[in-house]
Amino acid sequence: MIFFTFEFLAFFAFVLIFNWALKPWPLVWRIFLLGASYYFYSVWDLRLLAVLAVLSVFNYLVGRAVHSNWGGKKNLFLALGIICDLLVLAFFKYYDFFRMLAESFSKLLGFAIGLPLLEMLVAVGISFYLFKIISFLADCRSSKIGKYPSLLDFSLYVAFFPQLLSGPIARAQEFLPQLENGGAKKIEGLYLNVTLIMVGLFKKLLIVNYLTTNITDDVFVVPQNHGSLVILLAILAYALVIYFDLSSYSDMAIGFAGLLGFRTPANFDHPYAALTIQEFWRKWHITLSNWVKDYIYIPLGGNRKGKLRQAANLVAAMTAMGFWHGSGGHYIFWGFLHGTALGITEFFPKLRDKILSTLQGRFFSWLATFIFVIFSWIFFRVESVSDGFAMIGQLFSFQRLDESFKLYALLAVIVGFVFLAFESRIISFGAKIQQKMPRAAWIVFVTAVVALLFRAGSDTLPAFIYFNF
Amino acid sequence: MTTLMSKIIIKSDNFFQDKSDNLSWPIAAIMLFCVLVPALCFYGSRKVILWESTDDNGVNTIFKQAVVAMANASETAKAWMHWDGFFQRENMAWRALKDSPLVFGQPEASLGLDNNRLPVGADPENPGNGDLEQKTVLEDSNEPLPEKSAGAVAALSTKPANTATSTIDTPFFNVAKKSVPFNILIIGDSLVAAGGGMGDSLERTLLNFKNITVVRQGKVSSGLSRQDYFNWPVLAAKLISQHKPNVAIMMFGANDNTAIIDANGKIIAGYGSAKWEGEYRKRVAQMLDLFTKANTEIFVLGIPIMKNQKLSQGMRQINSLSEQETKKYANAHFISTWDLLADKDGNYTSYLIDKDGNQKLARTADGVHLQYVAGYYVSDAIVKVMKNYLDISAK
Repeated sequence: MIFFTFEFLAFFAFVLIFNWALKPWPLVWRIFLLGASYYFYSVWDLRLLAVLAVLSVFNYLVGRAVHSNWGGKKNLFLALGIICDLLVLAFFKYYDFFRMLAESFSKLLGFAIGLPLLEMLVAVGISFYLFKIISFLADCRSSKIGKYPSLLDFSLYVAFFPQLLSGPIARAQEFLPQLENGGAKKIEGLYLNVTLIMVGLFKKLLIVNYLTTNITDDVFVVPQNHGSLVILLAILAYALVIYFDLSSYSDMAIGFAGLLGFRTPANFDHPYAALTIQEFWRKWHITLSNWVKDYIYIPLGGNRKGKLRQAANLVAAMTAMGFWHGSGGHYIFWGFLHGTALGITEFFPKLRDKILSTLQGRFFSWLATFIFVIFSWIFFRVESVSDGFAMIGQLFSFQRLDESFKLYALLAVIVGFVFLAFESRIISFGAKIQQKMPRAAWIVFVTAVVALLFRAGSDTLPAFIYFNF
Repeated sequence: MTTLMSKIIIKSDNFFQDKSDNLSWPIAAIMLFCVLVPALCFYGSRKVILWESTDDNGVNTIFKQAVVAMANASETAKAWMHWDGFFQRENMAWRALKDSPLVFGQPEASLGLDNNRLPVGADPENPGNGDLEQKTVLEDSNEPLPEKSAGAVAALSTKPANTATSTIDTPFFNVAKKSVPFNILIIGDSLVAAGGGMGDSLERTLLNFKNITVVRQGKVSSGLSRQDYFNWPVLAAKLISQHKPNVAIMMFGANDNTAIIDANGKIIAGYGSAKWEGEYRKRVAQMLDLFTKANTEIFVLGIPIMKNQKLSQGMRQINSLSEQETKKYANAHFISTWDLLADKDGNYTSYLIDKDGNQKLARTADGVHLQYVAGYYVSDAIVKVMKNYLDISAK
C-alpha cells in the first residue's frame, strides 16, 4: 500500500478510528497497531511479512542478550545480531551481484561454481527496518535503552506502518516511550499534520509524477537523444524529483503518524539551502545520515584519529551509503564523490570559515555546494558511471539548443524551486489558515484540496524512489 | 468502549466549537477521513477504479475492494442522476488543461490535426493526454551523438536454443529497402516507457545508426483496449502530424487483457467474450491504418513471455491477433519477442546466458518488464529484422 492510494486512505480511516477508540486499553491498542502494521505490509507480499516477523523475534532475543550482557558476552551477541541482519539485507538486495562476483572470481581461479539462480522479491522497506533494528542492538550495548521492551512493543517499533517502507528511521529511545500507558491522549498539531499530508500529496502527485514522466525519466535513460538545454532542465528537475519524492514520503509519514498520536523525527531541513557539503548532509535525509554517522563513521574512528583518517572514514562511510542504494557502480561513485568532497573540506576548516564570514563568500559557497549536489545526482540516477559522464558531456556540447520540451515541465521546475524556498512558511501558513476555519468548513476545505490534488495529478501510479532501496 | 462512546457524544459539541481538548482533535481527524474517503471515491471514481484495479497481488484486498465498490457505486449514482455528462466534460477539461504546449515546438495550430482524419471513437476535443512525455527530435539532425556506453549492449550471443530462427522475420524475396533519413517513432505501453527495459534500449540501439532520429512515447498502463484511459489512435494521429515519421515501431498488449472500452467509458466488449476478439482486431487495424495512410513502414512488436501463466496465455492470444492483423498490411511487419526471452523449453525464464556463458538477470521482479540486458538483446534482434526493410548502417 502506498500512502497516496485510495486503498491506503480507506485503511488509514479504519486504523484512525480504532487507534483512538482502543486507547483506554493499552495492550489491545498496541496489539491492534501491530496487527494493522502487519496487514499494511502483507499487502506487498505475505512472504515479506514472514521475514519481518522472524527478524523481529530473532533480534528481540539477541537484543535481550546484549541488553542483559548475557554470559558477559554482549559484544559477541551484538556482532551475531548485526552480521545476521546484514546477511539478510545482502541476500535480498545483493544476491545476484554477489553470485556473479563469485562466479567470475571462481572462473579466474580456474574452476566454476554454479550458485542457484534466484528470483528475488523486492523486499520493500527491509533496509529501513533493519537499520532500526541494528540501531536498537547497538543502543542496547551502549546502555541507551533503559528498560528492555516487551516483544510486542519491539515488534511494533520495527513495523510501525507510517515509518515502515521508507523511514524516517526513528530510534527506539524516541519511539518506545510513546507506547507507554496507551500513548498520546490527543493529537499534537492536528492542522500541521493534515497540512504535511497535503504538502506530501502536492509534492508527489503533482511535481514528482509530472517531472518524472515528462522529462527526467526520458532524458536520464537516453541522454544522447537530447540537447543541452533539455538536459540542464532535466538535471534541475531531478534535483527536485529526488528531494520531493523522499521528503513527500517523510511529510506524509510524519502527518499520518501524528494523527495517530506519534511523533516522528524530521528527515529534511532545507537541504538545498546548505552553505557547505557538511551542512547539506546535516539537512538531507537526516535520520539516515545520523544512522551512517553513528553506526559507520564513528565506529570507524570518526574524527578522533587525525585529519587523514577522518577523511578516509568519511569516504568509506559515504561509499558504503552509496553501495547501500544499490550495487551499481554509479551509486558507489555517487557516494565516493560525496565522501571525497566531505573529506577534502575537512582539511581546510580555516579557509571554509573565512569564506563563510562574508556575504559574497556565503553565496559562493552555497552556489558551489548546490552545483556539486545536483551534478552528483546525475550519477545517482543514470544506469552507469559512463552514462553520467556522457550526460555531462552532452550538456556542455551546447548542441540542439532548440530542442522542444513541455512548457509545464519548465513551470513545474520553477514552481518546485519557489516552493522549496518557502516550504516552511507555506506549511505554517497552511496550518494557520485551517486553524481559523470552523470545523465543518475545515473538513470541506481539506477534502476539496485533496480531491483537486488527485484530479490534477498524474493518471499513473508511480511508487516512491526509495522503495527500491 | 461505552465510556469512550459517551465521551465522544459529550465532546461532540467541542468538535463543532473547535475546543482543542483531548478528544476533539482525534474526533475531528476521524470525521475528516470519514468524509474524505467517500468524497474522493465519488469525485475521482474513474481514477479509483483505474488505480485500484491494477497491480493487485490478491493478498489482503479488503480496503481495495471497499474503495472500488464505493467508486463503482459512485459511477452508478452519477449515471442515475444524469451527472455523468458533467463529469465527462469536467474530465475533458482537466485533460485539456494538462496537455502542455511545447517550448520551441510546433504550435498546436500548425500541427495539421484535422478532426475529420481522427479515428472512429476519438475525441476531437481531447487529442492526447497531459501525462504523456512529448519530446521532439529535430528532423534532419545530423549532429554527432555519443556512442552508447561500452557496457550497455551486453551482447548476449548465446541465445536460447529456439530463439533467433523462429523470431527473425526474413522476407521471401528481396524487397526494395527504404532509404535514409529515417524518422522513427516508437510508441507503446510501460515496456516502451522509460525504465520498462524495452523502449529505451531500442532507442539507444537505433541511435547508433546513421541518419536516424528517434522519438519515443511510452505510457504506463496503456494499451488499445481502454480508450477511456488512454486514446492511442488520437495521440498517434497527433504524433504523425507533429513528427512525420517514416518508420513506426509499436508495442501494445501487456495491459490489453481487459474489456474493450471506448473514449466515453462505454464498455464495447467484455474480456473473454466472443465479441472481444473482433473488437481488438479492429483496434489493431485502426492503428495500422493510421500509419499506413501516413506512408510509414510499421514494425509491430509482440509482447514477451510473462511469468504469470494466466497473463502469459492472454498475451499469447493478443500476440496472435496482432500478428494476424499485421500480416494484412504490406508495409507492416510483426516481430515476435516471445521466444527470445523464453528458455530452451519455451518457458518463462528470468535469466539469459551472455556471450561469456554467464547467467544474467533478464527480467524484473514483476515478471513483466525487462532488465536492460534483455532489452538490448531484444533490440538487437529487432534491428536485425528492420535491416531487411530499411537501408540502415551503423555510425
